[in-house]
Amino acid sequence: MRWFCCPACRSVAEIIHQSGLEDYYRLRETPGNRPDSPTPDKHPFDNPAFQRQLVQQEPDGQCSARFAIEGLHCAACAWLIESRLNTLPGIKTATVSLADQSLVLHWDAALQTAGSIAHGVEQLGYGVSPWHPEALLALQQRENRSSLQRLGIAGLAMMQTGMLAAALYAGDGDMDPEWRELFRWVSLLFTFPVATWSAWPFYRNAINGLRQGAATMDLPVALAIAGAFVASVIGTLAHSTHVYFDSVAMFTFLLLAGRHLEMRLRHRNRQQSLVRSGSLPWQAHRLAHIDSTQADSVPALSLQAGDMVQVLPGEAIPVDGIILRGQSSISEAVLTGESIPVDRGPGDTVLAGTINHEQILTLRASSSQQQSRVALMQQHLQHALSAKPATVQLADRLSSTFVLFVLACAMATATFWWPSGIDQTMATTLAVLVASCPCALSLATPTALTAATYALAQQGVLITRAHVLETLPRIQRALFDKTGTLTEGRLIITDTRIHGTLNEGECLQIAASLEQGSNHPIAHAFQSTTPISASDVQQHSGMGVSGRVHGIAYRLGQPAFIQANAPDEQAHWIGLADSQQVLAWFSLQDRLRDDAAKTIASLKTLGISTGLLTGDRSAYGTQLARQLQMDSVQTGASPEDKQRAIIDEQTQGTRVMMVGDGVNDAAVLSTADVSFAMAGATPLARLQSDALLMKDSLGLILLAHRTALRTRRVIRQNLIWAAAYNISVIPFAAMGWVPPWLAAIGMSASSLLVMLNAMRLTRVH
Amino acid sequence: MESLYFLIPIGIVLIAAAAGILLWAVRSGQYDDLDREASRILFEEDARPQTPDDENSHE
Repeated sequence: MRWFCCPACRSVAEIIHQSGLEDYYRLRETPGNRPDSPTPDKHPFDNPAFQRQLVQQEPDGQCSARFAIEGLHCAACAWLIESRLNTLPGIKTATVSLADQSLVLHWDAALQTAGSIAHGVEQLGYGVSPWHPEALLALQQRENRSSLQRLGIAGLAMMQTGMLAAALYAGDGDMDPEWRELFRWVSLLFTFPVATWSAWPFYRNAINGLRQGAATMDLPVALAIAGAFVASVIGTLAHSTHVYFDSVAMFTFLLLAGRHLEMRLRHRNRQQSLVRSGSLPWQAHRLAHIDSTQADSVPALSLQAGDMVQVLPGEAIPVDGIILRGQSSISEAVLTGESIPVDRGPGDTVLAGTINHEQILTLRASSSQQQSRVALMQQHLQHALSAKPATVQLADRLSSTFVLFVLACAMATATFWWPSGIDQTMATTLAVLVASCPCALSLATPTALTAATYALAQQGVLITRAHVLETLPRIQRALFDKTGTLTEGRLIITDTRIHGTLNEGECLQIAASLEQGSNHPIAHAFQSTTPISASDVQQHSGMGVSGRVHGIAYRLGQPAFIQANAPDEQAHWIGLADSQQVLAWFSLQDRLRDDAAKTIASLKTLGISTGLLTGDRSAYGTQLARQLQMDSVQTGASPEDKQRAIIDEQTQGTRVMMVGDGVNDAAVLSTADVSFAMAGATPLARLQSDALLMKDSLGLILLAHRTALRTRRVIRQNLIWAAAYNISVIPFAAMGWVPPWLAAIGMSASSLLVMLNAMRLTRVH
Repeated sequence: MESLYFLIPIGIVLIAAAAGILLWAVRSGQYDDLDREASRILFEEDARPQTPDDENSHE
């Protein structure tokens, strides 16, 4: 028995392993579960345009290529793809990487083509697209490698110096000076790369902090490492009583290990929030000229301004452009979050990433895909994300005061002991510095934050910006988007009015029959009813649908389409009519999430006022806010209006939380003090938010708030404990009563206590 | 005790070699995907090459 992350992986693997069913994959022409991507006779990757872009030819007839894989969940998925590809003839190596969701392939050009391999992967239910190196991922890889190298070197050195230190401590006093000198020099050799190269990030951060006029947590760390190392070098040269090479190496290693774990968690969270090329198609149908009938399949990235592009129904539009021919309804949900499609015809501008629903459209591209509006926004956001400065830690203010205090103590100790000679002065001053080493203090905040971030990730809240846990408890106002956030973003029938001779069930069945096979969001509202066969079905773009059921002609659509007046203006009404009269009206509405009411009520009991900010102009927003007893409501707000609303509140000193999902929320999400993106949010909204919900449950926001409160409490306990320990030990060290081994034990014990306290946060209540 | 003058340099050389190998391994990308490699051992390598016999036997 194996473990799988999701039922999908499991069922695919089960199918693969049942003997005989392997043939299903080999023999079938069209994957049954992906009707939206019909498999052409020839895979687009085999077109010369893709070949040039994708495949590297090597002189000995070998090819190599890298693809991006969509839908990878866990190691089981990676294993499945690798195993499947390895059974194909001609494949030399196939390596799937979970870290950057890619597949690297080497194969024999005579036996396979890029298209046939991609087809093999698609048959397993994964998406394959050309690989585009992303700046953010490359940066994460560099960060990860450098962190591992520094950590590894520090670890090796720590073990060596620890071993030598054991000998030095054991032989303290009666050791032959010859050996003592040798051991110290070897320790110095091992510690040198740790104190200089491994600890470099601490020095760099400390200096950057000082340049901006802030004493960060890295400053005492940098001072402790550099100070202890320099003092030990001087001690070695001056043959004084103590050296602290082992402490330097261990301290650096422990801190680097903590930072590394924290970094990995942050990378993984960010990766999951970044859906690569999700909204922009990689393939386009280019027409040689406007009247040509045959479209070439080309990489969408190769399109230039002025190219003629054909977009089939159900496809995403590859570039920004102007419609030359065709009339269709276009879903702009990826940009606006609005589920109801808009009608577009010749002369209208359409944007890359939006979905064409009904008819074939011919466009003239107005820019390349890289220059399209969505791509530019994405690039901009990625840049902002990767250039984000190091997180400001809660302990910063405290630590800078503390470090000044420690330095003052060390100076005072040195002055006090000065008359007793250089050796004694050096030993006690160092004892003060080591005893007051801010190890526990510097671990206090990051361990708590990492533990809480990890616990929340397990529950389905991914934190992508470190300040969330710090800011969340101080939130005074929570603003929500409507569609897709408080509501499910799916239309359902909330009301039915019958006017004709047919009953409700019959009307619904006729409507469902007319809408079957359409992927228009309105059609989804009728999916709960079983359709019967309909003939002469015709889509009327932006208006509705007509057709015959049982030989009688019906029309279903907007009031104007069936030439009648809707019952009222309060809701979105869709009418069903035969040739004489209106038979029924269906009121379509977005369903409220189950836990919306409870979440709003809980936020109010926490003293957080709530508000609704929606771009929707209908009265439904106001009605919804009243139903949920929200404190304020603003309807018909453009993205700029939303942003202004938040800035207005912020200038009054209110700290604002925003929960949203659409691209039109992206700007607002970045403006708010803390922002959450829903699970179904558009990629841009996810990138721009501070935290991401992995399940569509608003209750997770309350969980995050509770965890943030507990985290704050734990951080305070940790800081108080660490500071109290360090301060109380300083007088004893200054008196010369603390031998180095005791200082080392004290340091480890206080660090351990702080870590254990932080681990309590991994238990979620 | 004099053997330490011989043993310690050997230790230093071995550690330097280990450090060099580690740096090389990280740089060559072997540590880029810790999640995938950590669980690789849990999966059987039972993928067998496709032979003409297989094609025939299932048809």
